[in-house]
Amino acid sequence: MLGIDLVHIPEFQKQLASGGDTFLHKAFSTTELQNQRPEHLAGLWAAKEAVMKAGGLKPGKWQDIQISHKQNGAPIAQVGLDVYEISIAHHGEYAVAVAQRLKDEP
Amino acid sequence: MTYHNFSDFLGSLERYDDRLALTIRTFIKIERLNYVDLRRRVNQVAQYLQSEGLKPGDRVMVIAPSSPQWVELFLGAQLIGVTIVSVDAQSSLETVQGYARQTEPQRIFKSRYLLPELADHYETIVLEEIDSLCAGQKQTAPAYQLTGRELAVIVFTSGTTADPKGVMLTQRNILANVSGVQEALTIDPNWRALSVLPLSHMYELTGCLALLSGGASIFYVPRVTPLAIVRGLKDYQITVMLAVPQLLIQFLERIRQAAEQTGRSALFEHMLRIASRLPFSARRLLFRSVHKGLGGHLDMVVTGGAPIPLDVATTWERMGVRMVQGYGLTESAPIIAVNNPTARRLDSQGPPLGNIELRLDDATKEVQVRGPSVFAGYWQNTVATKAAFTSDGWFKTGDVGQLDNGFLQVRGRTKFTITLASGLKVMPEDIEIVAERHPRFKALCIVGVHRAGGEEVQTVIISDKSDHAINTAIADLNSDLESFQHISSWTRWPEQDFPRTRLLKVDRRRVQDWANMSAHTKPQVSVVKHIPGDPLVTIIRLALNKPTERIHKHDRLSDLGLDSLRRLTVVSLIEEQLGVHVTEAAITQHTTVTELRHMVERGTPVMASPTWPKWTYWPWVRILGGVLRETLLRGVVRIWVAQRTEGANNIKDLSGPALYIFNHVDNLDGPVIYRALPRSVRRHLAVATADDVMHSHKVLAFVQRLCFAAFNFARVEPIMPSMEYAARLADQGWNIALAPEGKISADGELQPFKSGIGLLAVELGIPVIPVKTIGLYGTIPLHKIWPKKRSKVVVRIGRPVYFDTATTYDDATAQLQKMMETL
Repeated sequence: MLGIDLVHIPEFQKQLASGGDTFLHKAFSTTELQNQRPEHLAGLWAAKEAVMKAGGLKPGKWQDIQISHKQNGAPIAQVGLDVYEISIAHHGEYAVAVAQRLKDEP
Repeated sequence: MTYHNFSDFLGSLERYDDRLALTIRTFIKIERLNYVDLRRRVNQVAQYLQSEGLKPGDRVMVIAPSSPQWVELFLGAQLIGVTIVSVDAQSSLETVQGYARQTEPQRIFKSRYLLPELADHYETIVLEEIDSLCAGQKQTAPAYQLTGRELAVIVFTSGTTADPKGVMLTQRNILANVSGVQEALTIDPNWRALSVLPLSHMYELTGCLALLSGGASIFYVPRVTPLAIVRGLKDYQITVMLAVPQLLIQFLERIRQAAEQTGRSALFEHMLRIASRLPFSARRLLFRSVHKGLGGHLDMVVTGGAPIPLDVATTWERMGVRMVQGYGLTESAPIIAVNNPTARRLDSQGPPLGNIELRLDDATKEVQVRGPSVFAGYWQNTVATKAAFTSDGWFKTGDVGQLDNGFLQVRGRTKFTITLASGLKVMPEDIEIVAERHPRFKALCIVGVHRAGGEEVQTVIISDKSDHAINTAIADLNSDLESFQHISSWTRWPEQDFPRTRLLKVDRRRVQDWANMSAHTKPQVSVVKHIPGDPLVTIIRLALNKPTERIHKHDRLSDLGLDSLRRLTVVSLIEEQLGVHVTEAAITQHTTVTELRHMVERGTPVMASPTWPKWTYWPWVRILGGVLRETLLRGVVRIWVAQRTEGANNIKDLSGPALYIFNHVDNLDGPVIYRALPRSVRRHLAVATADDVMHSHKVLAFVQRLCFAAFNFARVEPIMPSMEYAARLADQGWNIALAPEGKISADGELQPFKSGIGLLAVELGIPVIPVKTIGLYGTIPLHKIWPKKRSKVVVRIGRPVYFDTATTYDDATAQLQKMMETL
């Protein structure tokens, strides 16, 4: 299954400004928060949304979707034992991500 | 003490160099700046601004909540004569753009996520990053001769849409007020103050500087919410707060609610009556449960912004908290009068500061002042400046007052400024100008109506429209106003026209008096349908960006624009502002505003901080635990494990706390590692133990806590509380021991480290030492409690490794894993 999501970075930034630390720590794992630049976080958020869509996950499980990087730098998302291949792109005010669930672990 | 300029001021702080100045929690760590660090950082900021080409007379705008960085930037700018344009972090883009057009700042420093659109028009810098931007700069102040006449700050009087006036204050204005306040309050270095107001207001800024001038410590919270304030009061053992009456009213309400919920309302009121006859220390004892909730040390609150209702002040005093009321205006930098903490009067704003001359106008009784802290004028507005002073040069405050034995009592205003309980001021004219753009009524007049703790904005209108049509029209008008200006109630004027002055202007005085009278006597006063202060509606407005009036109780949230991003904002805000957990999954496409309200009512309360036992770290428990531990290690563990240590030299020069990480092969590795480390380390060594294990094995948990100063560490998100706890222990000088694999290895081989270890290693900023046991596997294997064999074990202690904050967590984790493998 495929999932895609588009994030308007300034709007995302506004939500971060309103939701504050509580928002940050609900949306992202502690390690994902090392780089707190809005563009970066918007990309991660898009990826998580895409994974939710691809996996048909219930909302609110942002912390369960862990985004990390493979040796070659390509991002990958893990939800429990499921692995999703993801791709994130930024341009101007937008961040976009697609996710596809892999049948077996790579 | 008199300061001539800010260079002088900073020099005077040298005597406090090794004392704590500013503190804030950033991410997991508590960041502390001693006075010496603060002075160094301020110099670096000044050097940085200079290297960026900023010259004396240039302006820098700041839009951010209070933080040590805000203070650094302010003071740094002063050292090279650069003016700070301070803007409230809540301001709308439109307002900020208005200020920017007027003052033309060369740079805008803003908080990371605020107002992203500003970057399109101005050169913006993220304030949170200022320390790293300045890191390479020289730590000495730039050579620049200050006169004290430099323009220090421009503060806009209110977020008015119509006619914002920038109050210009020089270095001398502010510093004169700092001296005056310091003298009146006799601030001393033992004060621990919690900052809850924005530094963009002079009350907080001058308060901050006065506290620093007295050597006090100031503590900042990342975001000011009731929960954060309570947590701050407790965490930092706060003794003093600068606050507006609204906060004290809110807290008092909560205390009364708590008493009511436990059925002790009558007792509480009875205690208050008894307390009035008791000395202060006895009052604190009587209300010790209240004080416990406030951290146990809160001794004094300095109030300002709006007069505090006498009954509120009296109640707090009876509970044993000193209420020190003051009075001031932005134009006077800002304090004009303040009570002396030891000779205070609750019905007065106190005597004028030593360096302020105060007089009352003979005819109007208006308070007029003169002195070194009175402002230089309004920014590029000579007309308004001229109007603010009498012909003989006294500043007209616009407030009416009286003096009683030298104590000022502010009684009302000559102008019609409406002072909200939050201390914010609303100018009726500002709203009327907006209203005139699209006339909806025959005539309207904005007045302030007294409510508990302050005033609220009411409009008196002349109209023959229906109530419903009027409500809609006012809702419409509100959407054109700044949120704090919102009209919260309205009444119909009973006649065809308002009373007029001889110059045919509306006689606002008479309208206001009538409105206040009818607010109490006539029940027909209609109130705009939503409750203006309804926190849930405010949350929805913030998250969904809809004006309050567009939010109706039967609306579906999805129709109001709720998507998954905004849903998370709503849930986060409910948690922060209302202190209640609501699960995201419970909010669906169909959830209405009312249903959300029910969820909030039924939600589980958020705990202020992790509720792990505190006794573990009591000194006598540590002594007892230490004796037991040593007995256990020497007597019992050695029966099963013969161990020797290699590499003890690697840590012999370490001082201060360190993070010891070890491979997790056996139930016994905790004790074995303890035994391998020198006594000086293990006396202050706390072992991170899996949260779930601690919860399911109560006896084991008890022994672990007692002997090994164990603390809970979560294996799954949210791991933040555990991280914070570890950081706090390290902060208090504890060494931390932790197994980064997260669970015992089933085959004795090293498993991949969890990424949290990289975070801890980088963020704690303490040395990390890998410790490896060899030969221990299988002594008390996983899921067993009794030893299976006797083992010969070698414990290898590696070299300490340090990570700087630029290291990514992943890199740190990988590096530590490698070190453990090769050890």
